[in-house]
Amino acid sequence: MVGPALSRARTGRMYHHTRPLVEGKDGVIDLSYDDLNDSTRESVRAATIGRLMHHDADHYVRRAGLKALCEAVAERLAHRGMSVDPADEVVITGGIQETRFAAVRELAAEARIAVTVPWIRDHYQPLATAARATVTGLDTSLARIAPEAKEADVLLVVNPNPAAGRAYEPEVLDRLADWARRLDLTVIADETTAGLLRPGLSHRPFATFPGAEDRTLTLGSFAHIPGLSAWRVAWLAGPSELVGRVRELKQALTICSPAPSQFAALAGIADSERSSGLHMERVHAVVELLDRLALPHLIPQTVAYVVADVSALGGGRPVARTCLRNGVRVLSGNHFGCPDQIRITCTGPEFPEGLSRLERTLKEMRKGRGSGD
Amino acid sequence: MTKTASETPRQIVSPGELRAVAADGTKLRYRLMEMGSEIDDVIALGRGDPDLKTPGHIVEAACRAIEDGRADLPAPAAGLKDLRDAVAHKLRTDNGIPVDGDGVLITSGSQEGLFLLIQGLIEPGDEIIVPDPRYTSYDQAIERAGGMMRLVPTHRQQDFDLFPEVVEEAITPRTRAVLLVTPNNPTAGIVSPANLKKIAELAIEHDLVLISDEIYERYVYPPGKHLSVGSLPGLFERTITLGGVSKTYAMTGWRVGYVASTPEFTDHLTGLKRTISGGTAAVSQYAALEALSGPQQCVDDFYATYSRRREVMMRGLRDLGFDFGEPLGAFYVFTDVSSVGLSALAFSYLLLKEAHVLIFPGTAFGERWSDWMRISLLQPVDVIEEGLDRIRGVLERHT
Repeated sequence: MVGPALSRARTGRMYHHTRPLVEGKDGVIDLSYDDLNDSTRESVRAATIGRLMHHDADHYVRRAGLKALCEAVAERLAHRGMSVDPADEVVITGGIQETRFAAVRELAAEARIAVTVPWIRDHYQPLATAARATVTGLDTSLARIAPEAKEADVLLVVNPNPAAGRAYEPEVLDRLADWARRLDLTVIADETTAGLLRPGLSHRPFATFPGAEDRTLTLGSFAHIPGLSAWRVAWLAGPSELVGRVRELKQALTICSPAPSQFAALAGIADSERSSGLHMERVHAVVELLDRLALPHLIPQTVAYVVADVSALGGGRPVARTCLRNGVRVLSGNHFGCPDQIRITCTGPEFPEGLSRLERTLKEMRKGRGSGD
Repeated sequence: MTKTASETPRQIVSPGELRAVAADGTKLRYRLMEMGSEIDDVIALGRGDPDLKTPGHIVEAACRAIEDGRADLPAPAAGLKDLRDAVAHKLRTDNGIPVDGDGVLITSGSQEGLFLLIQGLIEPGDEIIVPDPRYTSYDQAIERAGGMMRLVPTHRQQDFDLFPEVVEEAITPRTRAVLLVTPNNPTAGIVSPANLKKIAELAIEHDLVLISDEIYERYVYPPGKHLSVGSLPGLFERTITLGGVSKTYAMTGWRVGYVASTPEFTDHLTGLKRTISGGTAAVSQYAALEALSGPQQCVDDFYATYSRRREVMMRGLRDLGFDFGEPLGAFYVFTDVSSVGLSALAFSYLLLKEAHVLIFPGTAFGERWSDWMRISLLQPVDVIEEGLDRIRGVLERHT
């Protein structure tokens, strides 16, 4: 006998995401979400409960997802100029993370991935490791094809940028589509936060740029529907050949996505009401706080974030750590390539209390700095 | 009635659309289900999705979680603590497995648990001993991890029990684990406690991991007895137990399963789950919590229902002249249809097209099972009887 076999499970090649700091910490209010972590709307609750009580969600559903939900996704994409057949070009997944994993694992296996947002490389690295792929950042500002693109097999376009909340200008996307076509690259377009753009800003899917349609798998979410984070439901869409490959992995992974969650998404997607007004009110509350503390800030293009420059308080990481000790989590800019900043997400049912804790923390840190501590 | 291969009247049917996917058991099952779904009066005796409803108290618990906002709070990657504890409690009290909540990972169906544990356990080139026939999703999980399957046969004459001798013969220096599926899909056989204990001894002797898929554990019929290998002395540390609520409580749509093992390995798998999918849907976890901790009369009722159907199906298949191993568990009968004179693939196609009866051929569960079919018990008794009548009609017309 050599020894207990399970303890020999090797983790060297493994692809663990770092454990979220807030996970398992009771009482911490999380203002670091990437999406609208609010309460589910009453209409969505009622519709979903109705489905459950009718036992519509008891059994496996169509492997690619509820037909009506696939059709609703296709219809939304059509409004943005992207045409997909809901029958075999849309798959409903078990959340954004599963969507990203399935896409990278199947379309970028053992490939070289060039990602448009260099700092996001760390976020995708575990997924790339799972696919035995490599990730490099890409300079999108160049007029000529970036060297990283020439080396790549897969182009990963992240737009809008989920951490910093910025969207690319159409000219940049047009350039990237041209590179993809000329280099014959498969494109994974992570557009999972497209639904969070502020009112007045519109999103154009990467797949609609010339030359991109037949080579792009679009990853999307129901992030614009408040409260659906915990329900774990998202989608992907694109040419049937690309979608089919990813669908096979999805089936191998979970057979189909949870039926209750799909019914919730279906109820939410049909409801055109948006809660951006509430979020903008909260954004303004955070801005007022930062103004009072004389901390520079930026309101990104997505609806629920404020990015603050906290270099005067020691930088993003120490501020995020101190916030966590005081019971509120914000995202350090180290996660998105800006170590002097923090990102505050203005969502969640506990936002008012979270804001109070943030205010207390920043004031204490400001006072400490001022007194030379 | 038996015909040789050269006499097989293959011109009767033209299952070309199936042959295109026949080499892949999983694709074959999906294609057949798609074809079946296009037929209005189809009698589906193929898929493993219980036809019974999720018990009302479970659905109501999920609705309460929606109403009071608990379903809006994302669950940790490892699962809700209350649910992990409830699974551990069930495994300790019902199965004798010495596991605590920190040794339980909640997954989005047991299939995700299987995928995760294979990814977390093996290195490329490692071998896993897999009983054949088999649920081919194992193939996909092992293949994607770069592992190799070493198939070991089970036989109708032994009611598809798994014997330690064939397991021992298959062990090589690259063997990492033995997969135990008891009760088994598709054979409905169980690994008898005596054989299980000997296989456990082999695992200790060769320092192997035992992967014990017990998703059908609550449906075992006399004289079968279910034994969880993780309950045997000294085995918990090398056993990964796989289970879920889908089959026991008719909850396949909710997608909740679990993996139970040591806290260290569970922590390792939790890291993988965080990367692959994040926490399982909270609403589904609250339903599963009620399933495990609420009234269990529903399971007894389901058991009685499946037992009645099993008797009807076995009697009907015997009347049709089919031979099968004693189905000691799950809700299937794996039957030899070589007497028909068609391959099982051709016969399943014929049954679907002519009689509107959907049954999976054995090749959906392994290449060499071309004379076998898996028939599920997941229809009411009168529908099963109607299905048997339709099969009889096809046999009378073509043999």
